[in-house]
Amino acid sequence: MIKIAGLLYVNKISKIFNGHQQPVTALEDVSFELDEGELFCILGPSGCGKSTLLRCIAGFEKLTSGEIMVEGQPVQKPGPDRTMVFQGFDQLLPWKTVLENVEFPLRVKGAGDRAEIREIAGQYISLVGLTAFMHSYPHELSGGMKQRVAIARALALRPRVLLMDEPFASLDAQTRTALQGELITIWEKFKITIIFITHNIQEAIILGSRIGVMSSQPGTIREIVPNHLGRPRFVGYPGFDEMWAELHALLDFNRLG
Amino acid sequence: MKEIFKKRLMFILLLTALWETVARSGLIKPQLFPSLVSIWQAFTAGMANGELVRNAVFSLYLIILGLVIAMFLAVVCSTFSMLSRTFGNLVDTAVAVMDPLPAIALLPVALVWFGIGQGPIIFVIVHATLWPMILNAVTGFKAVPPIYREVGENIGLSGPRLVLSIMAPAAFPYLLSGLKIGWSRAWRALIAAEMIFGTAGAHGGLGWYIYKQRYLMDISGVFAALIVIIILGVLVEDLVFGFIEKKTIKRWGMTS
Repeated sequence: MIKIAGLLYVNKISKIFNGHQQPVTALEDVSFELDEGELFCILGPSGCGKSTLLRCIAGFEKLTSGEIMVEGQPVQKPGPDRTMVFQGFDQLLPWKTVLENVEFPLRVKGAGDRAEIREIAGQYISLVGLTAFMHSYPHELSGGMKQRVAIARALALRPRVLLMDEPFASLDAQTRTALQGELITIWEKFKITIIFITHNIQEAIILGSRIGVMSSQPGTIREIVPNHLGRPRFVGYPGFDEMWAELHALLDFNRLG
Repeated sequence: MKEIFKKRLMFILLLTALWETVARSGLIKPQLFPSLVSIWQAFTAGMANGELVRNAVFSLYLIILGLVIAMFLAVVCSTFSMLSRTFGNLVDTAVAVMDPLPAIALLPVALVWFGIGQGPIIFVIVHATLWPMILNAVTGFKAVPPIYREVGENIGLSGPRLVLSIMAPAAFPYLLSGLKIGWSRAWRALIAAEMIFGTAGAHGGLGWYIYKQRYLMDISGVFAALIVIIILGVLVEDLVFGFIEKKTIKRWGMTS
């Protein structure tokens, strides 16, 4: 396949919020390209604008300048071609069961008749291992299960890019490791394109095929580090420590002080 | 639930005992303070000859009709409030101006506009219930966590569809409490309106019944009708609203 242009094209975007006293520059001159099938991690300290960047790509925020193109089309508003998995456990609709939560977006999209939609939803729920909880309500699930459902819901729409905003940040360490592993499995199986936001260096190394390191004030991507470590990765994998040190140096924690 | 019933039963027994003691003590004339036995007789007689039942059914019919109209208007107004800022401000102002105005104060106006009949009573009920229901709905919509809205927008929803399929269920606890307030305000407005002129149609309603029995100096009958109002209120509160809560916000874990 001849590559004409990347799947996602972020070109010199900035975002300035109207603060209470003075305008706040959240993003300044951010540019990067994303190819099909990449798992791009954006790593940055809190407050560097990484979530804002993702929200701009999702279409929740209007750009102050620059442009974002998905398959040559400029991003204007949120849409199911860029589904988002949020950090919070409250992203499922509490009045719908697990099955209904996954079915509902498919129904909105018009992804088929009743039986087809049920079948698709069932497949994605089983993909995240929650078939037994299909008819449970979100408040009956654990945090990890809720994030799994959110991933299933986002994947079922077959987005061009899956946007993940620190989805595992509120989980305990064990569950987080398990979900990282599952995400990698799903990514390898379906060859999906993912942008994954994190403030955790270890998570970025384990997941990312490329890692964009952000700095704050102004929020911008400082450097993009390719990650050629083999998979499955884990802490102590050959080359892991060197990469950790490199990313840590780039993050420049001293400057935040 | 059982605990509540036990406590209520205790309370009712205590109250009846107190009532009967006062009634039998002879301190107050029985015409003014009837004994439970005579209230019970008036109650069974009213039920048996159908007068009490007919009036209760008629009152319920008026309330439900008024509430349905008010609910429809509240849904329309609060939906458009969410979609347009200007309309929202307009509705806010309307609620602020109209809500403090007691429904019964509008009855003379309603009589002039709609004439004698069911029209003015329905109007008064709608006025009594519409504003608190809009207020609750708008407050509820504003309290919806932004993440639900974003999830809705993310899957491609916008406009009225977003409001109805995401915002409305997300605000359901508020909508339900608005409906509860509406129900109790509707009763008040209805009974008052019926007392002022009951002869709307063939049956006058419970308010009219109470007024008429007082006129006939049948105080036991007055109390019998009051008991019917209390029973209806408790039944609707516990059974209807209790059932809705159990099937919705309790099941969804949306109670705070």
